[in-house]
Amino acid sequence: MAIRKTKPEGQLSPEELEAQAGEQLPDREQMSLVNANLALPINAAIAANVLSDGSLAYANAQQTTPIDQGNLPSIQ
Amino acid sequence: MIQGAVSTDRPRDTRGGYLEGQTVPAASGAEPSGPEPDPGRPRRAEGIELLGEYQGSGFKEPPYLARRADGQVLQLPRLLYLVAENADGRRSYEQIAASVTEGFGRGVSEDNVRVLVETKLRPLGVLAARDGSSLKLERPNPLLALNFKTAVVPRRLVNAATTVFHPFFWPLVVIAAVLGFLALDWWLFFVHGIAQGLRHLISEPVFFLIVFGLVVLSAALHECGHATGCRYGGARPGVMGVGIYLVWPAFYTDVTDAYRLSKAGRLRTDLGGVYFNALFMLATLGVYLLTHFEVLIAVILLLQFEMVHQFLPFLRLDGYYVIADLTGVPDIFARMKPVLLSLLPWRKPDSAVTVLKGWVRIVVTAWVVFTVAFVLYAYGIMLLHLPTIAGTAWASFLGLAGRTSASLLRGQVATGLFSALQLVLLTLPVLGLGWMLVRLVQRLLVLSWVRTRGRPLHRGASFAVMAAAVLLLALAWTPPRANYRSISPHAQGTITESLSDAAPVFARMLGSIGPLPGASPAASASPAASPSASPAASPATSPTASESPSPMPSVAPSP
Repeated sequence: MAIRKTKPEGQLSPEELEAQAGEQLPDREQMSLVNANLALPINAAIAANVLSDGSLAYANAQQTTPIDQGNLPSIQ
Repeated sequence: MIQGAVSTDRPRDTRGGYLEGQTVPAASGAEPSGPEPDPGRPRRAEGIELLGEYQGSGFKEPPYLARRADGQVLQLPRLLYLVAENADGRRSYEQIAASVTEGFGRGVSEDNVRVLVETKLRPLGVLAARDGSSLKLERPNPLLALNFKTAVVPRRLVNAATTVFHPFFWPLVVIAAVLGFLALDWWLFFVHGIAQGLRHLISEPVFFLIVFGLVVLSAALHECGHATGCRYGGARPGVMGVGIYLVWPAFYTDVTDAYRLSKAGRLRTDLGGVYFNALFMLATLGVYLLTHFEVLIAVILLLQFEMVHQFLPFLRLDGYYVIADLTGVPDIFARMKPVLLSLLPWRKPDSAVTVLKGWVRIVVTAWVVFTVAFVLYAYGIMLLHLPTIAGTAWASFLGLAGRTSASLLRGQVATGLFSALQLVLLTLPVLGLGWMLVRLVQRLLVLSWVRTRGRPLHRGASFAVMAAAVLLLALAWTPPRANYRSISPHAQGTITESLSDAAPVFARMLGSIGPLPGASPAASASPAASPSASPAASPATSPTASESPSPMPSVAPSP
């Protein structure tokens, strides 16, 4: 017959004691990266087509100068 | 009686009372009166602070916090904390056991207390050694932490700065600022647009210097935001400084004391940085409305990208701390291994996982899986493509050095300074990358040696895996597979391209002959899936940036 190990009344078992573990937490160093990657927003802007000549940003440019088209020299 | 989370930021002790004093003196206990301290009785180490319950925790049983004199914060289970609270140098082991039994609600014997004191609390430095001395313990070096850090602004000055910035955290000011920031974004992207700001920026190199200066200023204010948020909640921010995070230069603020705050207080500390970035953008908009200097619009745009970067949750940036504080698990990185092992169906879940609440366990597991995938992919691809990164960095270095000297000789000071600045910003990540690789190898060797002590089979297996990795890298870094030229104009840098490029290396290692279909020379020039996805994306790894004829170089890597 197996002998059952019993702990004295009012005492924690070795397993319960072993389960009590403290931890060292890492320091909280909150950072900001010095990241002046100018290409990133500019590439994104190009991808969004806002810098190209045919983009909507310039689609409403007004033609204000009269166009003088012909094959004869203009008379001064 | 221990109480649950409370709405205040102030710390509480195990009886639910507020800890008014910041430090619990080593020789004083819960009861100030009594006999003189006895050297034979357990007592707290010099300068130890008992911070109370970790509030808003994601654990089934909330842990408690203590802080050693060296600044190290410790997470303790309730029983250890109760013993520490009672170990005042006056109480005997028997008296401590009686007091702890009352507080803990279960029988704790004198022998139990002796075991906890000797095997748990003294090795952690919570209690003084038998001779009364406080142990000098080595601080942990956590995964993916800041390196080469040096303090620049002392704690006293940081405190002074937080006093100045304190009103920015008044609730009405916060609401007004957030609404203002939303209006700014609406105006920027739907009314004004960004085209003219960028057009002006490209037109004149000196504008790059202005933009860079403002970005650095905003990063410094970001740190003030963290420090002020920390102090607003009642904790004490530490020093500010500079360092190298993985490969990027970085500012940092020590807000370790924020562990003692409530969940709201910790989140305020986390978000204080980007909140101050938003305030900086509003101020920049104000100057723009007065001056109509379009380059300021480019600054605002760039800072918006920076804000998004800060929320990347896979590194120790603001996004990570937000997740850690929302879940109430102070060090999620430390739980990566137990979480991964617990995913194996034949293994019993680790106690580091089962102590978490159900929903927290799900969130933490999802974070671990995504983080491991991200880190393995980013670092794997970076290592495989190291020759291309080195080639591109070297080509950029030569180009920038030539441009710097030529500009200065022609008297173009602004262009010369800008090129010199880019040289510095190019060199720093490359040095950081080298250091990171050295540390990685050191760490792997030491860990493999220590963890497999007395287990020859495990040791053999771990070193065999490392040898295979070395062989793989040797194949990837030696010609003809290695490409030490800079990035090809045809390279796309897509995830599929980077994976298809890695396949031939694996195939070659396994003895296959010839490259796999789809591995074109152009594909081999791809350094990473995306500059924003790889921690090693060097300043010139953006194909657009390196091939663009415009004076628009990528002056720093993008996380």
